[in-house]
Amino acid sequence: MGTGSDPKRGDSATMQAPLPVELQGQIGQRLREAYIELINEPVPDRFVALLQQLKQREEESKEDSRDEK
Amino acid sequence: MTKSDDDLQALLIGAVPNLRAFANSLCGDPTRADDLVQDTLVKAWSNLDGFEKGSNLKAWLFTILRNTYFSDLRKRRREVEDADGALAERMSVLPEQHVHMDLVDFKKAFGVLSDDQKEVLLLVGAEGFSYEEAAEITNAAVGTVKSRVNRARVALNKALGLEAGESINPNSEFAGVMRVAGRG
Repeated sequence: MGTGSDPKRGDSATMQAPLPVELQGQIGQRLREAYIELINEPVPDRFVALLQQLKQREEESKEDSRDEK
Repeated sequence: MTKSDDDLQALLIGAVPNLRAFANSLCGDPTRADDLVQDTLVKAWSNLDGFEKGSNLKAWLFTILRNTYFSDLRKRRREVEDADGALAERMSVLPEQHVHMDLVDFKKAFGVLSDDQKEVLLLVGAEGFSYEEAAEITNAAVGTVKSRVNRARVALNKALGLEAGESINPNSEFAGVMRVAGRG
């Protein structure tokens, strides 16, 4: 199998001492700040269009199979 | 839940901002991130029978997205081995992301994490999934997830040069970040 993708390698075997809670909080806050900025980006129209397209295709294929019978 | 259900469409659309944020954070390329989200929606739609009713739709979508990301990554790596340097070339023309200056350091620091660390930190730290949910999404043991989150935090801390007690100093750089957080 692939290289460097062993899930056990150095992960759970050696547990590193956790960061002080204070630092965990600081990092968590920065992470959420950066992440919320991304979440707040407007959703491009292509995704709404895509789902409508998928739904439409589904309905059309249903009609087609009915016609064949 | 059936495909004709309008609720489903609303639920899928409702998940898009989070899926995009996750994909963007994971791959760091907005164009590729949107392609990933699109692939995820198409796969979700065509595999709807595989979704267990009453289970967590968001977790299911995140699972599809990260599986797609990692299988694409494996494919890309094979391609790179074939055409060496092609990826580096592509990387150099990535569009500059317009980000708040205070967040640049954090994003840079985030970039030093391995993909394994990034995804669990995003799932647990940013999305608020439990360790158990994150373990299910990433197909890893709970202990492995906990260990990866911890390693990710330690690595981020090192990259950011944070020290315990630093935030007590009002003149420290971090105080500025705290103020920024207060504004948002």
